[in-house]
Amino acid sequence: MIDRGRSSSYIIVNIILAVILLLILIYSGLFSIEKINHPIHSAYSHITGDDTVSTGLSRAFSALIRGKFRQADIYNSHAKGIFLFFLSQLVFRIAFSFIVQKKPAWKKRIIRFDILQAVVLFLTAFFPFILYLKDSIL
Amino acid sequence: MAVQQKTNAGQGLGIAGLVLGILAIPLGLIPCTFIAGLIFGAIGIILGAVGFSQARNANGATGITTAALSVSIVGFCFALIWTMVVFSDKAPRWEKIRQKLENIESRSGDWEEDFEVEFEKEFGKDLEETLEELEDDLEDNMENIEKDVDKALKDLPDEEKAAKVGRAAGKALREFVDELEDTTQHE
Repeated sequence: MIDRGRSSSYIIVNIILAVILLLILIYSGLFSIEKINHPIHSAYSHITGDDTVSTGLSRAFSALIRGKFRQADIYNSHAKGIFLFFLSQLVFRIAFSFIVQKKPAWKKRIIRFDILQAVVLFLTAFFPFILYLKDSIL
Repeated sequence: MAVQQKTNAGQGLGIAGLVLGILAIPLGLIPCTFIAGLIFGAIGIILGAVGFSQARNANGATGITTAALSVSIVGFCFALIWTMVVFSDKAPRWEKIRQKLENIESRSGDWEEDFEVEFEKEFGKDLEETLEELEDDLEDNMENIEKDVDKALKDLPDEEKAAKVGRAAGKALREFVDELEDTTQHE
């Protein structure tokens, strides 16, 4: 009874995150690289007037979704890693939900592996941002 | 002894808090989206805390609400650090401006005298006299410009006048800001 409740919570969280990740990809695909018409603007640049480590990320995502890898690198050199992280998480959300539904006995192991892979991949993809944050504080 | 079954109390809030908390971590870490991270983190903490108290009062499972609270706090902390960095005097641009002002302040005495001497050497004229001449020229020019503008706007309806004046003011302001930026960059 409890197990089924936990499994369903895990699947619900996975589905919501998968939808959000899909929306991020759709957002990147909808808006053009050339026109720079992305509706969400950088809060940091707006306040300080300076570029930052994440400047150009939306444009780089838009370029990556169109397969323009070199152009994406010009907009933001860290975009590839972050895009790959989001993409991998989308695949994992769908895959893990499917596996947990089919094999409820594996649920605990899958959740542990999921947390571990998400943390490791997150730290790898966002490492330049963590360094930048550290440099900004010190 | 009968084992008490756990209820679903607080689970909905826990799920909502967990999702917001998970989103708050990358949003809080990315400088461009730290405000969204701050909001998501704060809402995640509230939902997680309310869900946790509901779960405890009604013998519900607290795992998901604890996870929601943890990730929301992490995301909120990242965003809070960015908020402090951006709004403190450590913000890069403000720091640069502060340093420039300090430099100008520290050498302004010698700088003025040196400039007057250099000016006289270069142009063979006294700086103050030249500035007065320039001021007179500027006044004459401004009068001429006002006359030209009045003539140009005379036959236009009010809305068009307002639009033209607005555009001209915007352009002048942009040029002024560009020049100011160029000047400070040369410092």
